[in-house]
Amino acid sequence: MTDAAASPIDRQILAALEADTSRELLPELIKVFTTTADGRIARIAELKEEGNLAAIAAEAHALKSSAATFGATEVRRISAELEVSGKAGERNTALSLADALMTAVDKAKGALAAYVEEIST
Amino acid sequence: MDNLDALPLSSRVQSDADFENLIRWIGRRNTEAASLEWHVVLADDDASNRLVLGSLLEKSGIRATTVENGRDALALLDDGHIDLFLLDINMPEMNGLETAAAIRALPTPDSDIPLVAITSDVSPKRLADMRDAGFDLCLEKPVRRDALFKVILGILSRRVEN
Repeated sequence: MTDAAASPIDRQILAALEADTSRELLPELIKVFTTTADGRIARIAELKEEGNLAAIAAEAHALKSSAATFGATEVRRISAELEVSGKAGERNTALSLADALMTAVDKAKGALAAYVEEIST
Repeated sequence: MDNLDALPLSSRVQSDADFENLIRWIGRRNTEAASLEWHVVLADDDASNRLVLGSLLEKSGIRATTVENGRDALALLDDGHIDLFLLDINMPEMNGLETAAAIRALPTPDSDIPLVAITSDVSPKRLADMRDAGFDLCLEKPVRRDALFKVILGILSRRVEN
C-alpha cells in the first residue's frame, strides 16, 4: 500500500493529464518535463554560484508551473517558496531552498519513472 | 485541481458558447475535415507546457502553433490568419504582457484578436497588469482540456463568419 502523503507526485493529477491527452503520449510528456526540469536545476545551480537571486526566482517560477501540470507536488511547493524568497532577496533562505529543490526534483523524477513503468505494463 | 473557471479580464468575451451560431457556421462549411479550422498560437518558454497545451488543443480539433516567446508569436501574424493567442506571462525576449500590449497597439484588424493569459500567478496585481495589457481572459495553470476548450469555444463561437 502506497503512503500517498509521502509520495512526491500526485497520481490524481497525472491521471487527469492522461485523460486530457492519452496514455500513449503521457510518457513522452513526462520525459520532456523531467528533461526541462533538469535544465532548470542546472541553471539554478549556476545562478547560485553567481548569487543571482532574481534569476533563480524566475527559474523557480517556471518550474513551479510545469511541476503543477505533472503533479510534482513537492517540487511545486518548494519552487513557490524559492520564487518568493528569491524575489525578496532572502539569500540564505533562497540558497537553502535551492538545495531542497534539487533533492525534490530527483525524488519526483524517480517517482515519475516508476509511474511510467507502471502504466506501460 | 478542478480549474474550470476562467478569470474574465475584459467585457469583450463571454465564457458560454454560442452554439447556434457555431452550428450554422459548421453547417455551411462544405468540408469533411475533423478540425474546427481555428488557428491558435501558444507562446510559452517551457517546453513541457508547450507540449501539453499543444496536445490539449490538437485533441480538441484546434490547429495550434507553439512558440517560445512573445516576439516569435508576433512574427506569426505575418504568416497567416490567427484566431486567438494563448500567452504565458513570464517569458524571455518578450513577455506576455508586452506581447498583449503590442498586439492591441497594432494599426490593423489583428489588434482585435482575442488574448488569453495562461499563468500560475493570479494575484490581484498580476490580474490588473494583464487587464491593462489588453488580455480578455486568464486561465490558471495547470490548465485542463475542458476548461481550455470551453474558453476557446466561448470566444470563437461568437466570431465565426455569419
